[in-house]
Amino acid sequence: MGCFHSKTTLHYTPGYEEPTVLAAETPFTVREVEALYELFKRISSCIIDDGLIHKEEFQLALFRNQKMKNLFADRIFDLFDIKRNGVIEFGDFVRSLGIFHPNAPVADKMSFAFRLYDLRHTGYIEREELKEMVLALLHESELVLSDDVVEIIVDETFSDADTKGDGRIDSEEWKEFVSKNPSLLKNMTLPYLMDITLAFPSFVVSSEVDDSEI
Amino acid sequence: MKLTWLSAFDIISLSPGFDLSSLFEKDKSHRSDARFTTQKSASTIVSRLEEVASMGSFKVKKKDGTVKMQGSKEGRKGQLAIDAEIFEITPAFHVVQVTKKSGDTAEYSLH
Repeated sequence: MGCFHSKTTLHYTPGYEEPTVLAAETPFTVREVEALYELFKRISSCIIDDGLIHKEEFQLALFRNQKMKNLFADRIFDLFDIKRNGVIEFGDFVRSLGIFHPNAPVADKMSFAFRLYDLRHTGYIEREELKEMVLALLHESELVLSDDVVEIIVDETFSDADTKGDGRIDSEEWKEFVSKNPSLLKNMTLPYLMDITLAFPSFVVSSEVDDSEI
Repeated sequence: MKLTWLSAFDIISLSPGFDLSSLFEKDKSHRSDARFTTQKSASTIVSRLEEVASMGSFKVKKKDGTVKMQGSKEGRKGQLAIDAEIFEITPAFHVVQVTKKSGDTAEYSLH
């Protein structure tokens, strides 16, 4: 990726959690968490080498462009920032990626997607939020559709999903809608996570022993 | 040809901002699928794909909104097979998802 290898001792930065703890709470094994640690170090050292993933570093990792602004990437960043402190810590990173594991419960994936689309954190996906997201996607793709057409698309989706007819989609309606349209959760699974130890072999075998000797 | 209709949520999920696999891929040029949008009609898209297929000596099969192309020449890793799935957002706005099903990625990129 072109970033220098981090020189920070990450074990002492905030948000670092033991691989055994994280493995117990996610679908990952200890080896896989260690592999994610290698990936995390790479991403988090690119711009500010402090063991934390900042928004620009996330954008750089996702788009190869630290300045690329994208509504959806912003939403993902916000959800990965579990502690709401403006950065993604290692624990946040592993716990959030755990939801994308092929073996993670579908209920967790549904819930994450729901929170992703609930732009203003009201606990509902409002019609305006859905329209805003469609417009953002069209803008990103440099495509123009007339407002009428966008309205039709949003209307059709809403009438399908908003079964209670109150102008907003609640988490129950969302679960029903996704159960009927499972392809909506396609982005919520990263098959690559099953092979993570191959891509990021962990060279540090007895890191725990080394630390206690310092 | 019967096409899959995309809901507003399907449209939104096309954003690269949602595709976390980029965090893991080192080199985007080795991706074996691509997606693009077009304002041509479905029949124009299919004709265009058939044109390209005949130029590369591909056999074409159409099924459920997907144009399946199979190379007749044996490449380095067997025959090249490409699927182009067409989704309709409106009659004048379609998304085409192209996936390499088998064969050598380098040959696929050429097409």
